[in-house]
Amino acid sequence: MAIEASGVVMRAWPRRHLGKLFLLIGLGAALLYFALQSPVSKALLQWSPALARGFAQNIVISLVAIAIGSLLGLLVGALALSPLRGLRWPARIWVQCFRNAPWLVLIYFTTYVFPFELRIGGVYFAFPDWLKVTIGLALPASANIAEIFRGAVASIPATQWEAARSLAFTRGQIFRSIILPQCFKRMLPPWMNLYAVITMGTALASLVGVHDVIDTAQIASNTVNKTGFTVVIYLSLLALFFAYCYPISRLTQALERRYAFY
Amino acid sequence: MLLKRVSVKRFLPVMLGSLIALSGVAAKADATLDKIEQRHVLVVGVLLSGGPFGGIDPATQQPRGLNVDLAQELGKQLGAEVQLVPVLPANRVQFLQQGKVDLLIANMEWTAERGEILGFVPTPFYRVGGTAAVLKDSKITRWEDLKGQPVCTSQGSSYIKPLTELGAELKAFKSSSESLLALRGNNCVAAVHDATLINPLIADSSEWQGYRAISPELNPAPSVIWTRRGEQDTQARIDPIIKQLHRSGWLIDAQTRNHITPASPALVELQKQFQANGA
Repeated sequence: MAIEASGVVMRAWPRRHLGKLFLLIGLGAALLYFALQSPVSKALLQWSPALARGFAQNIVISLVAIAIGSLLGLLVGALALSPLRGLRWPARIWVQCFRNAPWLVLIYFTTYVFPFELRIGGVYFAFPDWLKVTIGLALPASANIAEIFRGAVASIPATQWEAARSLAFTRGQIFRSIILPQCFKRMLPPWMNLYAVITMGTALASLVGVHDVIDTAQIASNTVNKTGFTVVIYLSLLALFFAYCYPISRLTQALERRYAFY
Repeated sequence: MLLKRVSVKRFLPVMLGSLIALSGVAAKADATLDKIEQRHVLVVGVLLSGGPFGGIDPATQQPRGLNVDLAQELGKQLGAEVQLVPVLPANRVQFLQQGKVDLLIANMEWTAERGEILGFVPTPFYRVGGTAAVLKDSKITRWEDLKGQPVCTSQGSSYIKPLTELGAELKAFKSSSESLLALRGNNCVAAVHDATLINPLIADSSEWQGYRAISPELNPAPSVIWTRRGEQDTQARIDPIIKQLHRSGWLIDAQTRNHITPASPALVELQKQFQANGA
């Protein structure tokens, strides 16, 4: 059923938006035509490989941050659900601390507190700034994921717990075979939402000297030194982040519709 | 017997202390020069804010500029591989102090305050002063006219202190391009930056036709290479190299190669001075 329905949607989309699509292509072509003639866009074209490389750095930071954040967040979220107070309280404090701290402060904290190199057995390992920023973003991500996890577990109706308990399932069994399989589906949309927010948060990395897309744009605008170029390059950063985050946001919406509970 | 047996343990701190002191004497040089000579790596913090002193090549994405050329030349003469670390005005001093970089070649001019917290190579490699871009029909003709006026500049600039003393109302942006954009948006009456940035802009760029620069240069200060405080050996090792670069005209060539305009009269002056001394 689901596959059939999605097939229909796929076919219907271009037909419904054909006019808009043509308009967009036309507009893009016209813009490109005018753009290629001005010196500003020539400079933009010249700098685009550098910008792309900078943006790749942002994406790497966001992906590693969400990976670390997810692992840590699920652990902390699980601890927060523990019946033992000794496990529950540290997890609660972790969540409250990192969820309510400004990201920039956490990034400054990780950047300037961690050493720049580690010496393990006589060999020096560099601890690059981008990794420190990644950790700085992973901390609030973990706290948010812990909350998402807690919320998902809490959203499963209490009757399911009661029904499972009356069937003589243990607490562990209820979690593993009844609650968690439903939770992951519910966690997916907010998790993706958080990922999009973290991606936008990677723009903070340039403030501590990571050579990311914002830093590249600043170098470019200082080198080219044209007011028009400075405006255009920040606009193209806007477009770049939008182009990356918008599909995520649309996919999240689609998933939310699919897993909606009424 | 009044004499008691004296345990060796009581002398342990003294012995340890003298041992440490001796080993300190035994080492050839200060920590940075030792590190450079042991690891054969020279870690230089460079400011890559864009422009002729330090930026990146859009095609190869490699760092370029006068700062970068000078760092590579130093590495070549010290026989060390150069690692460039991009720094920001906000974090450059911290990077140097915590040991992340050994030297700073980061458009950081010498001031008395900086000279107290850091060490530096006595011979400057450049000298640059500030100038202000103002609208052609602006009433500002002297630096004193900036008193009480909003003035744009960039963060960590060495002109912040003299401007504050003039009584200007400062707006410090992250970099020069934002500051210049703010000037064009009439957020301030003047933008104060290095003369090597403002002068070519007003001379060559058509969109800056409506602006003029203020002379004389504000606070012309020598650009020096910074080290950690008290590292005399490193400074003594690098100083003759810089003098030689002046004498041979390498620095003047590097200035031309990186299209730094107007050419600094200080470089010619220093070249003459060292040619006279060295010959």
